Amino acid sequence: MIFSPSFRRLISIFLLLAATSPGLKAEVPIPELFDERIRCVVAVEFFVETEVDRRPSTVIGLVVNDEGLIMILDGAIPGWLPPENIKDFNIYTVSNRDPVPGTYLGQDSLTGWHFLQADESIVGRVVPFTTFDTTRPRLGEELWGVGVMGKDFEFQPFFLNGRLAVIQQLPQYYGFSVSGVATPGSAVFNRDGVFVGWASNPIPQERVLYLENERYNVGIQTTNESGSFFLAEEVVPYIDRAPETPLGRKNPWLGVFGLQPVDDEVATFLKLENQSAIVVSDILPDSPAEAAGLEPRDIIISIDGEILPKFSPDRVVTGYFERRILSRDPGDPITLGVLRGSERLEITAGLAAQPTTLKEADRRYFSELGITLRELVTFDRISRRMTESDDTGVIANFVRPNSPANTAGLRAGDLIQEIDGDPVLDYEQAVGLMDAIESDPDRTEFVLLVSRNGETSVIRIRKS
Amino acid sequence: MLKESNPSSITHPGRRMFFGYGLLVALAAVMVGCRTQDALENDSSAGDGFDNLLQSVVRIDVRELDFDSGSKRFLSGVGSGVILGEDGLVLTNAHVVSTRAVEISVTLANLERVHAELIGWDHWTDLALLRIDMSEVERRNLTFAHAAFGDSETLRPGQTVYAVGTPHGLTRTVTKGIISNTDRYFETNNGINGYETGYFNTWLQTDAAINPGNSGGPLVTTEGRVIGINSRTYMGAENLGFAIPSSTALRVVAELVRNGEIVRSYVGLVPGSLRDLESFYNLEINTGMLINSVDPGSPASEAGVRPGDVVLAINDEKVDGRFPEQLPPIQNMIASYPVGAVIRLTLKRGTEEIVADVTSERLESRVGDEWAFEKWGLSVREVSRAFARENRLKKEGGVLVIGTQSAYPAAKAGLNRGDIITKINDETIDNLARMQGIYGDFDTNPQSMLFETLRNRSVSFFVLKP
Repeated sequence: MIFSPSFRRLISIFLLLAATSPGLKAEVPIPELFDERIRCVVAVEFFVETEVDRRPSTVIGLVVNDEGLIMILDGAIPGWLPPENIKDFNIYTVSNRDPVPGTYLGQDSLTGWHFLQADESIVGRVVPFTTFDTTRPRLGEELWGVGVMGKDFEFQPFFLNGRLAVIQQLPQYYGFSVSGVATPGSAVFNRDGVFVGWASNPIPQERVLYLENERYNVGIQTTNESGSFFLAEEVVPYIDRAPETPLGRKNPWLGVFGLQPVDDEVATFLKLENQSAIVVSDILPDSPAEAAGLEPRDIIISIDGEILPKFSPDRVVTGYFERRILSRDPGDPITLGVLRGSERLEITAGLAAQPTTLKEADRRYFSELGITLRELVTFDRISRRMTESDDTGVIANFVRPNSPANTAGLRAGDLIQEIDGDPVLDYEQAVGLMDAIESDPDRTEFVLLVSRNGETSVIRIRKS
Repeated sequence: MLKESNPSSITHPGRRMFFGYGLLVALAAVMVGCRTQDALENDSSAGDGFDNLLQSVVRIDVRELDFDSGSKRFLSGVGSGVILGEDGLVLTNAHVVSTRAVEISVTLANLERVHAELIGWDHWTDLALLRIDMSEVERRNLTFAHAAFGDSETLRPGQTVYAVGTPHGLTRTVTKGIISNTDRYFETNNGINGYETGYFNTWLQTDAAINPGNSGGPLVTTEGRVIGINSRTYMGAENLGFAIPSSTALRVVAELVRNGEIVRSYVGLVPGSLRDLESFYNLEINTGMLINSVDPGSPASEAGVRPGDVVLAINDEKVDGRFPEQLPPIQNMIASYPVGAVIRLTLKRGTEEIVADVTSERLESRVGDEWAFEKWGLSVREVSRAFARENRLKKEGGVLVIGTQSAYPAAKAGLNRGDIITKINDETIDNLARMQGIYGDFDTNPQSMLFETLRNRSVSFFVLKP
């Protein structure tokens, strides 16, 4: 009989449990487990710098290896900002109050997690979570994890615990504890100190609030205690995905937009039983999807011959589909089973490299004018519903409050289509025009044609 | 501000607007029949003219259909109006009596109540014209006075005026103030129950107290001559009331009497004031109207007109749009050409002067026809061309969901307010009539149906079950 590695691990834990049951051998006391395991958790401080602002931020990271590779949750670091705007990483360990500097490695596109390399002086001060065994927790099992207090409390670790309430596939497997079991980004263990998961951001608790006889439905979320965590099996396979450069690798890209799950009633109506399906709302121009002949309103029912599995809620299937694409590389093929009207088709597309993203887009701040110009990217074209007829321009990515441009009515997010009557053809030309305006001491004013919500207007800006 | 729990109030999108309206609020108020003559004796307004005016102001009670909740419901409201002539024509606001009105009653100055019908309305200027049921008037041997009009063009700021109407249901209330401004400019694209208003006229501003229910009542001179129709107030402020000038009102009334509607031309220009931009465009001062935006797919866009162009002349008539207040008359000039007319725009683009011949279309509202499919618990509005342009929909057509009733088939299927229904089973829904046809079939032979919708920009499917 051949056991899978995880099953063998399960058996070994079972044996371990048996071995540690009362009468045979005493359990390792919690304080002992705690003191060792808190060393796989660090507090990470960094600064987000914008044109006029510099803000500190603190998140919790998980130590991946002995050399000080650290993993940070998706969303803990703004993913839409260029990496150069995120600065001065300091890593605080529990054993030593002096921070260790860190270097930002970038964000993995599949998991969304960020990677950070600590300075070598961290060696010996931390213990990677991979040192510990891992397992999938059982329903009702007692779990505990590491809470971390704020900077004013010198990131003091504290004990949290709860019991496993449920496991859900969303599309990653998450565990949910009956109460807060760790600070988001920190580690979760079982009673034996086996690693069971990585605490994710908490899910808001639905509450009813009564205020002066008025009833309000509210969601309440704690900030430093979370009851939800990625199961260990969702964490361990992805620890090697640190990007080679902070901007990361180019994501694989199909070029479909507005993926909508098909609900049960509709699936039954379409005679799709016991499976998921996804409606494609739109196909982006010049995309692999367009080249392969995918059409708006096509319903995707399978990937590479495998039908889309059922999820609850239905909407999880779009995340599953996106992960199936992101786990490939540009150049890889993908074959989609598609329902178009009453016809069933197989469509094979060659995934391309994703077009320039927001964080990759070129940008430049004109400090005297108080305007940051940013290159137009695919995201803008989608969100602005731009058509081919108005496909050029440059984005006012930032407008300094109370600057002449702001007073004249320019707003962040405006699409600049003309500068002093010259149509904006591309980013370089726009920067050249703006440079000339800024550096010319004789210029007292300039005029922009900007588009906002599809309506344009002419704005005159005085130079200060 | 009335709370929504008040069953007699109409929730009105205008309440949340920058410029709010006099709301149509029905309140059970105690009526006190008092004579105004004594109070006016020491005032310049005393006189036969003013007394006659008071006898010509009416209270208007309306019951109207509302489709917003996935069903047909009746709402009621109260406003004011003024009688124009012996033939029983009554002028009021478009936001008091609209095409959704199903029952209109007019309370005359002598407190007698008679029925009236809608002759026509024009939300662009917020005016509606009613006619009192004259056979009822004759049968009951009723009498009424009618108002005399003054010239709103000769008004001066500071001049004393009176507002007469039914604020909060208080019939025949007179308030006093002055003309604060004769030429106020503002427009909104959804100010009148979602309809556009204010593009073709400027407004009189007054500090005479104007409250919900004053809507549609006259603003008059001390001699009792009507120089405006009270229409809106500035929510959150005091003593900032606005009235449609009588010069605009008389034009609209004449057209509504003749046609029952106002047909305007549309070319798709969004103008801007040129103020201080003359040097950039190398123009003499007081010359030209700036084009801020051109609606995609509009006649002007088809004719090659571009944002940033400056209109120097319209059909060789020079225009001056230096200040915002000057824009409505120019817009009105374009709108006054017959639909389908070729309008020649002389444009300045950079250093060039070019001409563009634009063939006008009929001006449409963004608000299309509405209907409720009651067995589905679904109310809808036809997607108009203007709405499709505004929302950059790729295709025109479809119907917009404006309400669902919980636990009815549409809500159970998952349809939401804001969805655009584009297809039912294999049938493309390009207008309301198509959907009404399908509903008719459903009514006789109920079966599950597949709805295809656009929500934001995403395509979704829903199955509606009987």
